[in-house]
Amino acid sequence: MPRRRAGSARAEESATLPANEERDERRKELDASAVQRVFKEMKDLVRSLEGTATTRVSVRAGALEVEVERQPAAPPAAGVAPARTESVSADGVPLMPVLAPLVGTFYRASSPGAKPFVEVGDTVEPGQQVGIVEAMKVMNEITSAYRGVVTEILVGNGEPVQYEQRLMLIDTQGGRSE
Amino acid sequence: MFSKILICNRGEIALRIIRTCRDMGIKTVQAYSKADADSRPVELADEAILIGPAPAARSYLHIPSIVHACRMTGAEAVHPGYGFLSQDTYFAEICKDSGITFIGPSPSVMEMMGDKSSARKLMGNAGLPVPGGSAPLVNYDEARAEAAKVGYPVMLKASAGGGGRGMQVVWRADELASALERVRNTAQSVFKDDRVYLEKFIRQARHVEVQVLGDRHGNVVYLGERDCSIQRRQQKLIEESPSTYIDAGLRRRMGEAAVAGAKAIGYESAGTIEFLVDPDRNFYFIEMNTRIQVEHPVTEATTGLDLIELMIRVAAGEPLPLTQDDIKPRGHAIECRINAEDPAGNWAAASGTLTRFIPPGGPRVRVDSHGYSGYTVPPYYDSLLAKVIVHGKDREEAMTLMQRALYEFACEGIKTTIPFHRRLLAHPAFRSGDYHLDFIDKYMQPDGTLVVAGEVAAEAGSAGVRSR
Repeated sequence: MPRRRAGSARAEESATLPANEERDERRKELDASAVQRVFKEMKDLVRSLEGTATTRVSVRAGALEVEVERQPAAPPAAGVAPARTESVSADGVPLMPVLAPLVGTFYRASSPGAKPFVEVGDTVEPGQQVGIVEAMKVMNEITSAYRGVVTEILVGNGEPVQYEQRLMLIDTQGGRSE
Repeated sequence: MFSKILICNRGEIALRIIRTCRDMGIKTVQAYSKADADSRPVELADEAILIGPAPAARSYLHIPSIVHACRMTGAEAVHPGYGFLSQDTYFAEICKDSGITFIGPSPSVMEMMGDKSSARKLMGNAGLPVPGGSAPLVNYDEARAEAAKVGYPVMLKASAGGGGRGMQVVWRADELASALERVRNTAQSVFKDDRVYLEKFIRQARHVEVQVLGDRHGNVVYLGERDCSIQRRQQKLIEESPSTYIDAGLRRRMGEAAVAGAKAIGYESAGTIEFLVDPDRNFYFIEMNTRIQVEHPVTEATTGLDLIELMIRVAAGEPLPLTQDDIKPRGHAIECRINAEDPAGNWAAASGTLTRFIPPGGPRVRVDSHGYSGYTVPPYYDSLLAKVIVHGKDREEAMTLMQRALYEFACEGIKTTIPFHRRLLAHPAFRSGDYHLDFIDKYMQPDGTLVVAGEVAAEAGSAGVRSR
């Protein structure tokens, strides 16, 4: 199902890219300088929100509405170091990441409305399915390589992911003992 | 006009596309593999998205990842560069179905020209001269009959091939059977299509290709030719424009033939029609490349045009901003392809870190390269490291500029073909302009040096020399 996008008004920080045909239609009626002004306002606004917990901001000027969704500032959790490849829990225990094996959209359940494969706190076994990454209608099963407890789910349902993007973290040293 | 373009290629051509997009105010997204995380295109693009591991099959050739990356980033168009998916009809169709503009010709035109045998037929019908030859051969008996008709030596070619692959010269009738089997096998294993056709092999030919540019409104122009006759195993080493081999009359006839061919198939975007020119100055259509080519800067130098910009404008639906009369190539341009390869080591691809990388400069010297001091050349992809292009008022000045540029080019840490090109620019056959497709066979030693006169390899039995 093709989606024509005439170019959307969004700041670089945003992670979700929806199609909004109504918005695209209205945007065609605007003049360039109005659009420039709104973009500038939006950029300033987003910059001023850095460090806060605000996640969604919307600016409207006549027929143009610009909406930005951002990652809220991470709460200052003790001991959680957002290192590039490793994560560490509050007790200094290394957390193993589940990585996206390809580019696509991450889903937490087998179908809309179904129960998610895993929740934070669940114990998983090696080979257990923990999610799906879909690309061009092909559903790729995502499985855990580890035995452990899911401590954090890093990507929301329906969000796009890059190759090797971290989807969730597994504490392999806690959980059920042998 | 597009507000965002995704580049699904890498290295120097990715950088090339990013540069023009930035000049045009178009945002860029660089889709990259893990091996290219530290590359200049990733650094310079407005956005970058990691699409897969190093192997091209899972990254630069991985259509779902690329299409999804376009969706994720809101890219309205994709520029495929050259190689990879640039001539992949399936990819072009999927882009079309997904509402993404593929910057290039339509899938159906791409398919027509992708089948070399059908391209030959179509261009022949459009009035372009083609070498004597056949349709795809059904069996050995037919091959023998066609070869006898056309006359030896003949060239066997894979219909699904191109870029110099899947072809074999046959000098005598008793070689035909084994050659046919060999080419079929190669065609099947490499291109998954074992159809083979036959063409007269043109000896002492020069490879002279014509750059064309078409828009969606039926306008097509030609932008001069490039002589790419010096090749090693069908890979071009050096290109120049204008060709020393053709005069103004032939130039115009070839240009007009190229335009006629492109118009006949409704060609849109930049493309190149490849011809062979024989010693009698007959020219023959060989194949059409439906993409931007490596050596496009040669044409940009002589015409003063930005071909990537023109491709983008055409893809956005704009009419060509110039007519044939506006195109007046000036001066003489030469390009050397600098590869990370060791000519003395049988041209083995070199990978490793560039400890020192200082490209040349000056008013008439251009370098297109993704290299930089400290850059690690990954081993997974082709070895093109830099293109050095010079533009002089005439061929003498161009050669002087190129020699000076190659002299200045400091590149240490891995083996490159810079020393080879220095020797090439000094070689009398190159300097005189009197060279043919057998140049490398004739003059190159196994250690990568070039002989000057004296020992010249016998012509008979030399491997098929063709173009890329």
